Amino acid sequence: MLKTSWICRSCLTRLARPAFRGKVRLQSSGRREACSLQRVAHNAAAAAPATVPPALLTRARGIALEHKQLTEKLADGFDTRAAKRVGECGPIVNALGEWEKAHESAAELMSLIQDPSSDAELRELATDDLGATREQLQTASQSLITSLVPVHPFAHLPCLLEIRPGAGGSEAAIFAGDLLRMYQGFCNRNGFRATLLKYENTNGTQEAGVPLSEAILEVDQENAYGVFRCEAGVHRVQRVPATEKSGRTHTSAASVHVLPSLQENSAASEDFDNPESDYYINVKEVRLEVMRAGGAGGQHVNKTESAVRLTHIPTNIVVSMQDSRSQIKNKEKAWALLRARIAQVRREKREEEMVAMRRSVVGVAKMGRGDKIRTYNYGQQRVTDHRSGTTVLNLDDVVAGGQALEDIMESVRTWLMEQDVEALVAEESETKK
Amino acid sequence: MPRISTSALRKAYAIDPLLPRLLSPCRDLRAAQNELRWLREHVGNVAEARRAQGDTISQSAFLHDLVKQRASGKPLQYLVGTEFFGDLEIDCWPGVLIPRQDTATAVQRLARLVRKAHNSPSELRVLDLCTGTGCIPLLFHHELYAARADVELRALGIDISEKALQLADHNLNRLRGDKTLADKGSLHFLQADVLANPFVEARGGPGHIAVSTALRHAMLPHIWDILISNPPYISPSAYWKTTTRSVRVFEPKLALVPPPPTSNSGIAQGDSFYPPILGIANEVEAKIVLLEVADLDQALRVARAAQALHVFDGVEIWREQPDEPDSPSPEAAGFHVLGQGNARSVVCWRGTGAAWLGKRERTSAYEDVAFPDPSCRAQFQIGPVRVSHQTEAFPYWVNNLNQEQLAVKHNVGRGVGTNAFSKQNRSGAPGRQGLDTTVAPAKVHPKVPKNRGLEITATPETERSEAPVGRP
Repeated sequence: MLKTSWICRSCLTRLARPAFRGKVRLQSSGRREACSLQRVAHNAAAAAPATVPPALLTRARGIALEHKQLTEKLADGFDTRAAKRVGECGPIVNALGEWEKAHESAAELMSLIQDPSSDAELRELATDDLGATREQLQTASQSLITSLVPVHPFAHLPCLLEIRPGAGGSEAAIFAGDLLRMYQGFCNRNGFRATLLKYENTNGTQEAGVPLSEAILEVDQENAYGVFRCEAGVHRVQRVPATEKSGRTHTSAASVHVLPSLQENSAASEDFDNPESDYYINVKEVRLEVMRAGGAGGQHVNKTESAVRLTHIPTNIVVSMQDSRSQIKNKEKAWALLRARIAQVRREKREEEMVAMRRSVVGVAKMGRGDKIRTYNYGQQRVTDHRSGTTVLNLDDVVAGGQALEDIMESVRTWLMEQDVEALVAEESETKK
Repeated sequence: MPRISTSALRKAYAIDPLLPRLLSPCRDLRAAQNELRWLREHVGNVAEARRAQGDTISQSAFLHDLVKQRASGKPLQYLVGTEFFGDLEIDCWPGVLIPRQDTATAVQRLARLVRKAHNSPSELRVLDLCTGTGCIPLLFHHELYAARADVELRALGIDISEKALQLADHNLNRLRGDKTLADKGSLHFLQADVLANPFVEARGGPGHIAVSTALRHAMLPHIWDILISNPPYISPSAYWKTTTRSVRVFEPKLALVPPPPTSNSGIAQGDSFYPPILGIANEVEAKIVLLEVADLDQALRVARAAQALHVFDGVEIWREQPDEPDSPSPEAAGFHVLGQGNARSVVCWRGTGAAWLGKRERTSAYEDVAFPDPSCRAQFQIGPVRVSHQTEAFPYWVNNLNQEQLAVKHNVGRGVGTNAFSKQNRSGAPGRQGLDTTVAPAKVHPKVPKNRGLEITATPETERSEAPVGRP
């Protein structure tokens, strides 16, 4: 037998015949009413506050209005820019439509329930539907928020991971090597194609296994920048180093820079010749220095020096490349690196302006330059991310680039999105004032 | 050469025990590190290739051997076996000059200018004298087909050395084989001596035949659009003073220093290749000539010699980095000097060559033929057709040709005549129009035979009489 002492009839019928829910009419009874009221209360508790911040809502409505105007304009004649904007707004408008529909039906149901003059049967039906509608509303508001948060403009690009040791001497250099292996493992596990663009150990040679002084890993995968963006910053390690004789725990750090990369495949999507693009570089502003043999040159010498150095004069960014014997290849690599660096600088500058206002409200530390973002504690076998506050106790898996690392990165991405939402809200309320 | 300090050697040793030996040829720690890395990569590649064949080598012994050879000054390119020339990796063998970066820069620039031109002919012919590894025609081919598909390139490399020709063919086959070079156009290499006199019977093997004779024997066309050459240009004194030891000891002197002049012509030994090359350029009616030179002094001497021929519409000098902003050069009397670095090439052009280089064609000596109907001009697509005044604008050899024109006229239809017509067909170069005026003064043939294939049907005997002879 059932363990419960009693089951109200409506619940029993629903259990037996869920499909006829709407059509079944039963006699009303006091007991049943109590039951449904209880359930309403339960629903209200379970559902996360299914609200969209009003600031975001007004923003979405503004965008919907713009979308409508643009669509009307497009009906008259084609305009590339307007079409592009319409395409961008489309998901937001759809999400807003869904949300408004759900919101409206929820409000209607609530008014039915709360209206004392309404029929008891009707009220009960409304209560039945309210749960499903609330669920709908919740998903709708979630998707509305997601669609409103702007996707990082470079998220679709492949990326460059630059790893350099920070404070902590050779232990930091060893840890930088560990980080490099961690990301390589992560790429292997996820099937990302990763190429080592530059690898230099502390001896200035390329031999592996020696403390690392600089490594640049190129992850040649769509969306790689979106995946690795959250990795930029200072990674702290606490452990007994291999170089330590008396068993003391040291704290060292390595820095990771993440730059969106523009290699051949993505070059088509970004327009180098467009002066508005972040990747646009005026060729006249770059000083190209190639190693030329001193003296006569030509047939008089056979030099092997193929180093290329590019200097972007306005920003004084210098990139030098000497890995390949082919000067042309060195030049191509140097240009790719210079473009990536300059785009990053420009983007940071632009972001800084935008963030300055947001930060006053939200207090988000800027990514990539702030304090430590993550701690790897070998003694306690734990990894803590200081932004999302996630702690994982499976350090070995993290350092091997396994599922645990993915979990941490996922948590940071979620955190980033929440930050973005907060920032958006702050921005909206700021503009309203 | 200054002695390498002990501290530098010690520092190098701390990084890698093999490095100190590489310091002596490289003179610089950074360069030595790079070279050691490349040698290591090479050893790794060789070991891998051997392993694939089921053979093993001692990698460390091989590396030690290579470092020892490099320390003795042997060029890295000979040890590793290749050198990068523009985008191409060219194989190098001892006994053939290693391609130089400066040459690649100039050739690349020229090819990029030519491939941008709108009025390029359907068949572009490029002749390279003293081709060595064959790097210049190969790079030109690569650069041209990287951006153009509508032009048929016919490139020919000429060298005196048997070994160089073997290497050039090897490079061609390798690059064609691994699909680096597009499977279009034609590339050939031919043995001939640039310095040989075409009017003297050649003695002693194919390496002593003059260029024009070799072209005729090989049934190749004797009209070429672009002539490029990186001839030996180092004077004997400069050879001992300015060349590095590794060049002097390991690279062929044949490719670096011209042989001593036979007659007392007053030309310095270092320059002795340029007059014959300019003569050949004249003979093959090259519209663009690119000659590599040692320095600004030689560049000016060559430029003056080219100007003295009164054939070219313009002469300029390119430095090592011609694309960089010009550096001031006060001593360049009357010649435009482009770019930065040492003066490296002399460029001459005439006729349509000016347009290919992106220059404005000189029109002062010519005047446009008045077409009765403007649509008529468009219909025939002959471009701006001009008729010459038969004045000083044309060199002596054109007038000589005119003497022979009667013979040509009588020979119409026997192959020789078609030759004259087809020459005229190839766009409005002044020389061509000079021919034209005598056949039918001040009149343009709208129906010019398109068939170029007939051109080489002439037998050597008849063609000899027709060939532009008359060098003083």
